[in-house]
This record gives sequence, structure tokens and C-alpha cells, in this order.
Amino acid sequence: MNTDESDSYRILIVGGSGGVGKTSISAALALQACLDGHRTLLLTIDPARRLSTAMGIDRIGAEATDITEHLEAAGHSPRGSLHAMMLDAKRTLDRIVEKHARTPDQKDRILNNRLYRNVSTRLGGSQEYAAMQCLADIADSAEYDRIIVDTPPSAHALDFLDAPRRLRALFDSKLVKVFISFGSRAGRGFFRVSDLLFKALERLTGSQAIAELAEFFETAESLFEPFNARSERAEQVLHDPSSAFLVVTGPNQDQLEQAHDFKMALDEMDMQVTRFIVNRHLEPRLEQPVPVVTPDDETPDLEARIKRWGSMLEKMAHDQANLIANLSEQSGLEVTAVPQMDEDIHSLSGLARLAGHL
Amino acid sequence: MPLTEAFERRFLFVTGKGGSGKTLVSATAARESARQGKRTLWVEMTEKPAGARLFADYRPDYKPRQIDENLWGMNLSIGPAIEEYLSILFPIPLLSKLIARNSLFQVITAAMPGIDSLIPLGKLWHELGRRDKGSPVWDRIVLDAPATGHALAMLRLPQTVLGLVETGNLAERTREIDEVLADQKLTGILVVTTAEELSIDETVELVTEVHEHTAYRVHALICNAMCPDIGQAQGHEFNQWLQGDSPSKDVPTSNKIDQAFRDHLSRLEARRKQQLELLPRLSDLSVALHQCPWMPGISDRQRLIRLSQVLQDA
Repeated sequence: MNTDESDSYRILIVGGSGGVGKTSISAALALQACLDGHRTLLLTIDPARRLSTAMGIDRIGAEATDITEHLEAAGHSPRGSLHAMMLDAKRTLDRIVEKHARTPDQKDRILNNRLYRNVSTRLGGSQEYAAMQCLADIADSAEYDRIIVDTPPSAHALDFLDAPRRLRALFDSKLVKVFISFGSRAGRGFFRVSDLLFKALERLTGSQAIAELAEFFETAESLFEPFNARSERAEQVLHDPSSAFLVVTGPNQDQLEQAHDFKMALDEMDMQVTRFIVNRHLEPRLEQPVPVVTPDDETPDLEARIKRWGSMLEKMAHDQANLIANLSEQSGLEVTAVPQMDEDIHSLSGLARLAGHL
Repeated sequence: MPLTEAFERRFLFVTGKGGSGKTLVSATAARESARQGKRTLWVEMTEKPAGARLFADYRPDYKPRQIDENLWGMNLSIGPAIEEYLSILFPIPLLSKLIARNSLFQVITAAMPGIDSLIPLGKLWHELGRRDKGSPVWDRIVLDAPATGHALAMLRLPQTVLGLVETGNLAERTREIDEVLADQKLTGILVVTTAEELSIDETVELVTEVHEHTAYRVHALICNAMCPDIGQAQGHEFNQWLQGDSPSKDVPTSNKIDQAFRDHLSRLEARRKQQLELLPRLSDLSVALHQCPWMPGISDRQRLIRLSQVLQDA
């Protein structure tokens, strides 16, 4: 692992758009931190099956599980330890309910409320929201001196930060009051501006849904404080001087542009970014690209096909190298370029090789 | 020539893992449909529509805009869709605007479970049913649906809603949407993927989930970015070249450029073999499977044209 980064930061959040390899990168960083002697925790999200099997985490769940022995069994000699946990949105939210409900009856009513169940399992953004809650919990644990956080896959990197804010609006105390007052006044006629809004809302979502939502708010009001407190704690953790983002991206132009935008957005929110990791880039083999020959995929001539694809790939490699250099110049940040590996990463040795590039 | 059978239905719901090329596939389907003389609406659903990159002189907006002969495009964003729906419910324009733009209302609707699925589906239902002088306004609607996760939430929504409410406006609207999605002559669900482990995991999960937990069917899988088979007929010759031999005087061998090409193409060949090993997981799903080639080094517009050729041949 990059030395400065590993010395300066306790929490590394691996962000970026979906499909760029965040999960493998996070796992590789965690493996390296553990080998380097850190008491490491990896919070991972839905790794590919073969990778999780390789890491010995295919059966773990929302609880942190020690997989150090598994690494030893695979021939590594870790100087530190590695715990891993898999994000489970429903479980994370349920636990907050269980912990803070005033009575067993209240707990059951919330956990069985259909709207709550819908929010915790199906609502867009619930994974991001749970990841934040989870981050707040693990940040306070003294057991780890290195925490690597994978982030949920989403089209846009910023969703990780935006989605929880959106969901939090649902638990906003002012809004809750409006809802509760609506719930208790239901059927008394519509007189206020907010009544008009609710009439509109009712047409959109149905009165039954609103009644259930109101019931949920009434039942769960006492829980919003703890929920919000955890969210605030997560925000603090993100802004803490010992936390930083690593922005993972692919090597194509639009991916690099997105990564740059993400970094700018993080700057604006006063969050630290240590570096970019450009994953799976193609390495140039020649000083200069050779001219690309006419792309005719159908030609049966082997030599022509070799030249066409060889020159094409060499050109792509040079284009990527230029784009990566631009990114580094524009952002003033370190850029780590990880070459395309010969195979998908689904073994510990593959992870170790990946870590070598980081 | 029309595209393969899966693209024949009147409403095409195209989803897939982010980055797999679902926008390209949906745009290809829409473009080709229009070229067959069908009045076609291509619908994106994103904050950052890609339409302008794919079609010349097209600026995506909520209001459908003409892209080409017989082809229209729109970006279905939630805000304007809610406003439009309210204007149907409350036929006083000022009032519906007032409600839709109220910040409290916006917060509630943004946070309301499922509304980001329900509203777009409602709008699509509305467009499918629109008629002009007795005949449908659109012969075909192609939806560039959100990526797998959100798409699955959309497809599960009717069941979820009908589990919560049985009567009233919401239940009625939802039943209408459900009927459209369940009608297999009308609606085609297409899933775009790539032959990489994670994409395939996600695709298998999506298809299984749709088939086991909804009344809908996935009609086709489109596996994108398949590596080219460079050796093709001359496999033996190609393999020898990859290993550094010079099988014949026609194939270059020992200079620097040749070595560079050999490095690149060895990797490409390794990736191709991996892709082929993974494909059976898709064919096991018993859904029509189409393969599309990896198309580096050309613009999105060129890809669109190339893809329509591929999907015709399939």
C-alpha cells in the first residue's frame, strides 16, 4: 500500500462509479494492510462469488468475522489481522431498531410495519444509507487501526453520499410532525395548505399507504433520534482528518471525467481524497502507436486481423496513458494505474498481485 | 431487416448492469424500429441522458422530441412526470404546479418508497395508451430502464403496491401497469450483460428473481463486448504465432511491433476464452441469448449502426 496513505489514514473509503472494480481493490487494500501488520477491517459489498469464496468470506454476514486464519491456511503470513463483514442493509437497520426500541412491542410493530420493511429491503438508497450507519458503528470500534470501506455499486459515485441524505429527509423531525398531525386528523376534512399537499400525495400513493406511513412515524418517532445521531456520526467520520477517499475509475475518457467530477464534488464537501486508482488500463508496448489499419472485422486474412487488432489495442493503450496523465495534471493528485490483469480476480494470489500494483 | 424476435414487442424494457451497454442496445432497438417505419419513442430515465452522444442534433428533454424520421426521444425524469400526473388529477394548471413545486411535497415524494418506480411506469402506461384519431400515437416504446437494482425494484413494484393497497386510485393504476408488464405479447424485457463474473452474477440474480417472484418474463439476454476471435479458421497458425513461432512467411514475427501485438493479442485471446467459459451460466437460464462484439475505437454513433447489423444477423 502507498506509504503516506497507510500512515496517515485510519479509514479509507473506496468510492467510484459502478463496475470499475471497487470491491476487488478494497479487498486487495485490506489484504495488504493485514499483511503489513494492521488490525484491519474490510466492509465489503456483494463481492463476486469466487472472490468471496477465495477470501473465506462467502458465509459471513453483517457481523465482523476474523478471516486471518483463512489467510494463513492459504500460505500467507499476516503480521496483523483481517476481519471482514458484508453489508446487509436490512440487518443493519433492524439492529438499530432492536437497540433503540423502547419496548419489545414497539420493536415488533416497527419491524413488521410493511412500509418499514419496504424501506429497509427494497427502497433505492437503503444500501447506501445502511453503509453510512455501518460506517458510524465500526469507526468507533477500537479493535481496528485500519478500516477499508467498499461502497455500493451505483451509476454515479456521488450516490453514496446523496442517497443517505435523501433517505434522511424521510426522518426529518419537522416532516414527521406534519405526518403525525395528518395521521391523527385523518377524515376531518381538508383546510390547510398541507392538507392539499396530502390530497395530492394520496392520489399518488393511496390513502392506505399514507395511513401506514403515518402509523410508522407514530410508532417509530422515538427512533429517529438514534437514526439521525448515527447519520451525523457518519458525516463526522467522513470529514475526520484520519478518513479519506480513494477514487477508483476505469481508463476510458468518460470514466476518467466522471472520476474527476467526483473528486471535485468531494473537495466541495471538504472530504479528503488521497489518490485516483485507474483500474484495468491497457499498457502501451511501444514508444509510439502504429497507425490503425482499416477496421474490417470480417476479413479472413490472419495477418490483416492481427494488424488490425494489434494496432487498435496499442492505440487504445496510448490514448489511455494520455488521459491518465491529463487527470493527474488537472487534479494535482497521485494517480495509480493498475494494468489489466490476465484474468478476473478470484483468488488470494490474484488479490496479492493486485495489491502489488497499489 | 427487422431485429431479432425479442425486439418485436410494442413495449421494450431494456435493463442491465451499469456500463454493460444497455443504453446502446435500447437506442439501437429504437432506431431500427423507426427505420422499419414504426413510430417509435425512445425513453431514457436518468439525470445524465446520453441521447445527445448517440443521435445528431438531439437534446433530451421530458417533452418528446423528434430525433429522426419516425423516431422520438424523451428523458423521463420524476419531477416533471409528477407534475404532469397532478395536472391530470387536478385540472387547474396553477394548482398542480403549486403542489408539484412545493418543497415539502418534493421532499415527501422523493423519500416515498417506490415513487421513483411508480411514476415512470405510470407515465409509460399513459404513453402506451395514447391515441390520436383512433390509432395509437406510438407503435413502439423502448425504455432504457435503470440499471439492474433499480430495474428490479420497478418490476417488483406492482406486487409490492398491491400487497399494501387493495382499492383506490393507487391500486387501480398499479393494476393497469401490472397488466402491461405481464402481457408477454406486448412487453419484452431485455437484459444486457457482459461475460464477466460480476455482471453474470447480477444477471442470473435478476432473471431468477423476475421469473420466481413476479408474473413477468425476461425475453432475451444480450451479452455485450464479446472479444473478437482473431484466430478464427486458422487457429493453429494463430496459436503458433502467439507462442512466438513463425508459422508462415505471411505472418510477421520477430520485430518490436510484432512482439507488442503478440502481447496485446495474447491477453485478448485469454479474455475471450474466459468469456466463453462463463457463457454457459447465461445459456443455462433458458432465455434467448445474443452475443454482440466488443467495439473499441469507434464513436457511439458508429457503434449504434454496427450493433443494429449484429442484432439483425442474430
